[in-house]
Amino acid sequence: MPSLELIDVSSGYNGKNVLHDISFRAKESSVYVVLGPNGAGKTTLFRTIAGILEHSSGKVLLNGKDISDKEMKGQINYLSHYNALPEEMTVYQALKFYSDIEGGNPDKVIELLNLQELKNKRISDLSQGQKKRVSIGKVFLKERQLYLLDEPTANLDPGLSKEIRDIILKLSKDKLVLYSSHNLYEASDIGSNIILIKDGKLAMFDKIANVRSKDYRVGIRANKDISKIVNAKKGESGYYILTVASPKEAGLALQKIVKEGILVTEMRELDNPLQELFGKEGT
Amino acid sequence: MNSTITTARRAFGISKIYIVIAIVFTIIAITVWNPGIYQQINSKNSTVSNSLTNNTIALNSTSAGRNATQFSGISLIAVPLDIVPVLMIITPVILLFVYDKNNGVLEYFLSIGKTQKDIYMQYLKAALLLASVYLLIFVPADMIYTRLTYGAIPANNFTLIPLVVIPFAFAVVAFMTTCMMAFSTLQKTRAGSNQPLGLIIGWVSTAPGYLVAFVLSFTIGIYADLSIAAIIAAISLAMLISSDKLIKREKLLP
Repeated sequence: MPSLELIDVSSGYNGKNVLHDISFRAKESSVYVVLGPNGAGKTTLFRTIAGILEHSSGKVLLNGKDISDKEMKGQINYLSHYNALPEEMTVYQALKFYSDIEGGNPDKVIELLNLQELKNKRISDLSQGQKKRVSIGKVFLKERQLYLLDEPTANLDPGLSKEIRDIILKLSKDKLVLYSSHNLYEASDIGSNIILIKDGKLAMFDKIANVRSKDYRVGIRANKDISKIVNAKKGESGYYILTVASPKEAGLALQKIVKEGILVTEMRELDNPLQELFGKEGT
Repeated sequence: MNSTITTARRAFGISKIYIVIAIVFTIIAITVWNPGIYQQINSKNSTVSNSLTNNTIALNSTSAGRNATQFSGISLIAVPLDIVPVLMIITPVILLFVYDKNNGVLEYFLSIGKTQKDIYMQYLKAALLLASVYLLIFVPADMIYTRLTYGAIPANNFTLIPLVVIPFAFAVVAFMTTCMMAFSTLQKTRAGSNQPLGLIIGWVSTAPGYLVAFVLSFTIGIYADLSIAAIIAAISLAMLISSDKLIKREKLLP
């Protein structure tokens, strides 16, 4: 079973640390969601673990061995939020380009991600979302011990994001995946653990269930009083405030209200645990 | 070798304009300036050589079959001139490097364990490969055309000039590519000056070749050109070897 351990790792750019004394140990084969507001240091964390950036202090160990160890080369797959695709090539050529470097079968990846219709299109002719799909494709060329996926579903439509998450979930059964996101719902959909980075420091390393158990508040506007139907409290601006444990519970409450023949004119999340965690910047 | 070929092919594919310019320069080199220079060597009573080579040994020599040591060094002007198309041919490699940096491809190379030096070597090898392919075509083509058009030229001169072009061109290609990769790596903002600057660096590094042609005799000039090539190559090698220490990894990130 793969394990990743960071011991007092500090790292950054041009001699200036962005990450400060990060320590954690990820030892389950599952998805660890790295959360944090913009500029918190998520990408720097990934680059440091991938060995792209040299850490100024501390240790990064994969399966107990330092990542700078020659044996560790080729054990980590890093998906940058830059697509890193040679734009002059076709999709197939680009995947072949990467498979020539690190191995793997481009045809399998094309099948896995349903890229058949894009296979012969030039990368430069693709939309941002399509480029992202191809970029994700290179992650699945070859199996690794550790996957570092920096916002892999950014620019993708919800349907495709779900497909990608399902593939990653399947992958994480016997691999360690670190997955960065801004979105708690996405995180709760895919992850089992949370690594929260705030101002370059580790703010939380916990089971995601522990975060989700905090209050989740939804504001509902309706044409009748719903307080007795779903135990909501009347709040400001005509909203009924419903406090539930998860977005799923909010959906069930909505169903109950509609069954009573009440017209719901608006329903919105008022806040979520991430906002609390991130502070003022929100999600 | 595979990654070198891939990089060279990619460079070849991203910009055709430099290839076209190089072909135009090559045609001019083979059909205009080189024959002119060779003819000047071959001429029994060259007035051009009289006016340009006051400081050479072979001012008024009249023998077509004379030894190379007797010729004017001015014919060596063909060396830096013949390198111009080579500079054009390898410019797309420099463009590709910048493009790969901005696009995150260099970041990918770092993530799979390559060092700064490995990455520089990959693009440098591609540039040298393109230069080799070019010279493999250019040198024989130049010799054959000149031979067919102007007849026999003393064997020494006929072969020496193109053969000096080869090491000189490789040295300049190494210097220009290494300098431009370092420049593009350290460049903070994309100002679009990479192509002209690259060509200027390439041209400036050939400049001693022009000086040699005007002030030295043929034989001494040959040695001088080879020495200059060796110095340029040594500087490039030193830059390349020290790149892991001089250039931080984060400089290669988009």
